[in-house]
Amino acid sequence: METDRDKTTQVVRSAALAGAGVSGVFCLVVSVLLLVNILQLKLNDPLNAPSLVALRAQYAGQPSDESLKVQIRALDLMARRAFFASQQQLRLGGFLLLGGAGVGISLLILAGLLATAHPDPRHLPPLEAIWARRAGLRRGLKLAAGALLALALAAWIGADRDLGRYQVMTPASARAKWVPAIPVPSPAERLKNWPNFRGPDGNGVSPARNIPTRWNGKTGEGIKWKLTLPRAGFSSPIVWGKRIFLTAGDGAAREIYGVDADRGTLLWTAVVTNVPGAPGELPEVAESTGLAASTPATDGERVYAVFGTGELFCTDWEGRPVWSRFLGKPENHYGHSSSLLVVDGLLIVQFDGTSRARVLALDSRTGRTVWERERPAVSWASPICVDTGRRKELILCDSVGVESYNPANGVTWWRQDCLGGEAAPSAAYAGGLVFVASDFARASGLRLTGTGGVEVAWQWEEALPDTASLLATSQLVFMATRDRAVVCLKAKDGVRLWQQEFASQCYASPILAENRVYALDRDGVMHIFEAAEEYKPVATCPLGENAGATPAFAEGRIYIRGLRNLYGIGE
Amino acid sequence: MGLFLYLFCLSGLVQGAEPPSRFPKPEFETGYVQPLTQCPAPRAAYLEWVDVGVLAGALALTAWLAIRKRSRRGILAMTVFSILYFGFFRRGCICPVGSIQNVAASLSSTSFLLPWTVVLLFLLPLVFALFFGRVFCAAVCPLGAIQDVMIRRPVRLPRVVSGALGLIPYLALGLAILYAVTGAGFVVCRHDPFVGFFRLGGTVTMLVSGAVFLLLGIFVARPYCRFLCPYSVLLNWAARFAARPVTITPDECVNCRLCEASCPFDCILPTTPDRPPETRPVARRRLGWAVALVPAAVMLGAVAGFAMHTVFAAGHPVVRLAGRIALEERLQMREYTLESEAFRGTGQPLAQLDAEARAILARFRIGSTVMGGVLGLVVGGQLVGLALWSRRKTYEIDNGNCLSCGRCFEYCPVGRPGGKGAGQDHGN
Repeated sequence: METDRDKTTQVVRSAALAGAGVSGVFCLVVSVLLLVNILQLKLNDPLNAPSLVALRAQYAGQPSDESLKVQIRALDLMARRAFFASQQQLRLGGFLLLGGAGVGISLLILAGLLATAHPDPRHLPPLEAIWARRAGLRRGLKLAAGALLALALAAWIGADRDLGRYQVMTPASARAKWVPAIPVPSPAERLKNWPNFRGPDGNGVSPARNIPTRWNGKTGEGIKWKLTLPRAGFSSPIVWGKRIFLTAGDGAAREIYGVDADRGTLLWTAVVTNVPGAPGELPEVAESTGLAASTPATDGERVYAVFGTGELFCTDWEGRPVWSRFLGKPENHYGHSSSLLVVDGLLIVQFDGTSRARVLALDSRTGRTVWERERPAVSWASPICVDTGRRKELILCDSVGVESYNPANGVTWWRQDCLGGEAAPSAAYAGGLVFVASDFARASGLRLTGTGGVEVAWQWEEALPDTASLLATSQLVFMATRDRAVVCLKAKDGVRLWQQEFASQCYASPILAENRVYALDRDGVMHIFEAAEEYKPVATCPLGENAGATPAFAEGRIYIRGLRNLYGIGE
Repeated sequence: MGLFLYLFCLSGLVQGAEPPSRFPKPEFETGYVQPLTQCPAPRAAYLEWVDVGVLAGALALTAWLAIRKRSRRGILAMTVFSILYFGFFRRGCICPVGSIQNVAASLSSTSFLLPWTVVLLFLLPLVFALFFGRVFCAAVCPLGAIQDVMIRRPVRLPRVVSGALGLIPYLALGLAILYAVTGAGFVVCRHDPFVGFFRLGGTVTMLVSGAVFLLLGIFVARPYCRFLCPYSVLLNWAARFAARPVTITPDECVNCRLCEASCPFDCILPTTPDRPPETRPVARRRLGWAVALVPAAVMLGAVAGFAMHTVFAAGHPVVRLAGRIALEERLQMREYTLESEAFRGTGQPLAQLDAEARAILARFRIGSTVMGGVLGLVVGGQLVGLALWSRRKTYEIDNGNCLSCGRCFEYCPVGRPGGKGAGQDHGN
């Protein structure tokens, strides 16, 4: 018999259910409003509203129009207000929804507590079914285990056996040599040009002929043309055919220039932008290094340049960007200055620093890493790649020693720890000997042995270079030292043959052409002398402005970069 | 009707709780200096001890309500408290479930600091389970509590389904430990389906999975607790040896089956029929096969674990990044991802990343193999358990699986003149 209490319970339960229904409707309405709000937010991008975009485009063409600026600001402010108002509504809606759901669920719990219905055992399976239920559990377990095994089998079949999926090509794993996908310039073609720092192999030797020995930048004598550069930089010019390329840069911009070699006109300027991952934050560098100390390189199709910011940029022949990479902020207290080199379709980047020092070989077409090696120490030197007759050797100096790599896969041929201090001069090679030096350490002549290694032939510790790279013939070694002298040593035993002091130190590396040495000092004076066992001066040619870059040589021409101007010298 | 309205509303809540998209900062030209981003101070250390105290108090109170008072309403009140305190107030982050990973990570690495409060968070529910069964699951765990209030029309799952799904918590536990010890992260926390509701925000995946679990929970009682929760494995093991767990009836069972009908989790072990399921020789043979299968299951599991290590390792951010970079370097992927671009920005050598990824893979190889072997042991052990049977004359609780919710004794007519089931007679 139903009592009054039962009736009251029923009424309360019904009220609770009704309340739950009302809160459900409330939640429904709030949800719809929230969804509409979210959809609006997703569909409308307030900062790129067509009206705003149109105004911005208009403003780009008329940057001095103040009224446009005011309109853009007003619209922008309105868009932001609308956005944050929507955000506020979303937050409020979320709380309302939560509150409504909380009330609704509470009322449902209450209704459940007041329910008088009981669980009905008549719907349960018969007791005899218990054994069947155990069998069901067994089947389920076997099913799950079988499914897991099948998954494992699928994973095993799909897996990369040698885990190559996670493998970046490293020397240890690079069994195969690099084979360029496209034809690369022949050695003869490279010899005709000046494709990177210190000429075809980076060895400081020019095969060009009819090199001028007489000019004067102050009077214009022998100067074919002079081009004032838009920005400064310490990098050296490179030449391919009728084009000269060089880089410049400062805190505002980094640029690559394409110059007509015959007329001395600026053909194009490529501004380094949109380098993926580049933070835009400039590293601290010494003034004497700057952000454009590294010389670019070319393979006759593209131009490659690296800057003190860690930005590596590739352009096509007309200065259009092809690819770019950010190598990381250089950890280098003077600033990054190692130059680039292209070897058989590989762009060699010596990226030494106080940490994360490494050398990379990139596919010159795409910029992707082909191989990469960690390096032991910081340096400011540049790579050279020479054919020793037995093989090609990529030789890199660092502040501890010198290391030779197989350029095709980065495997070390040999290493000799014979340097110290701060290694900026690059190595030189001639007649089976590698010559290296760094200031406050020593110079060494290293003889390549028949077993593929090196042995120290001699060492020299007196006058040493701190910036300029070494120059060697099969008989002689030349070093432009920190104390304004040029020293000539015997290549085979390191005995000093002569030493000549100049008025100023050479930052530029000496170059050998037509058996003459061209040494450009910081005052811009080119000292030309015979590559001989005695000091035999040929000429002294002033540029008329200070210079630190290494000149580029071509048939009948020298291209010299002064602090502000680029000079074309010769016919 | 209310239930169906909530179906819709939950989707709204999911959307509403989505974190706001970032709006780019204005480009000021007026010299205005934008304020620095403020970082809130970390939570005071003593509050962590307060949390531990509240947890211990809640466990003790729930044990008292379930075992001494036998009060379903009391347990329900604790459920609401846990949702409010551990859920919305503490935002789901006083979490013994996730603490498994802290413990595993600290055991594998000396550099991982494990505070005493976390040790206690991990141990307290297990210690209580050893004495009183799974009282933590009854009303203290906010993840369980929020699902418990959603149970409306629970259905009894076919045994083949519950048997298969019952293996998943072991897998989840294995993966949680594997990812924690290999430094891949705390996957249990990252994929916690309910924490998004408690924090009123989270990833879309997190919120959608939470909504799915809650809606599914209307019909399949506490699906996360039963078929996914990694901590439930440990609680299950501990509760099997509980000294004084929840009982259905305070006195002699009358075999009315009301408890069995009331339990939404299928945790009541019914009486067995007089006739055994199979003859003794058949039963012996089955048991023999099951025992013999255990080493084979362990080996198969280990092999399967080994085979899957690369799949598991792909969840590690370093391995994933190395894989991505390798694809980019081979030109199989033209575009950089945010991660690969950021990595390239650091200037770290690719070879170093590759070496790191390989070292992690090696750890996954060992961990996955061990995990597979243990899973094989679990499967073998369970098959042995299912090959054994004994007679039962009264209804009993399956202590390992019972969540101590109190629904069974709420309806037990024995010794409860005022109980809901009093006066009912549904006995066989």
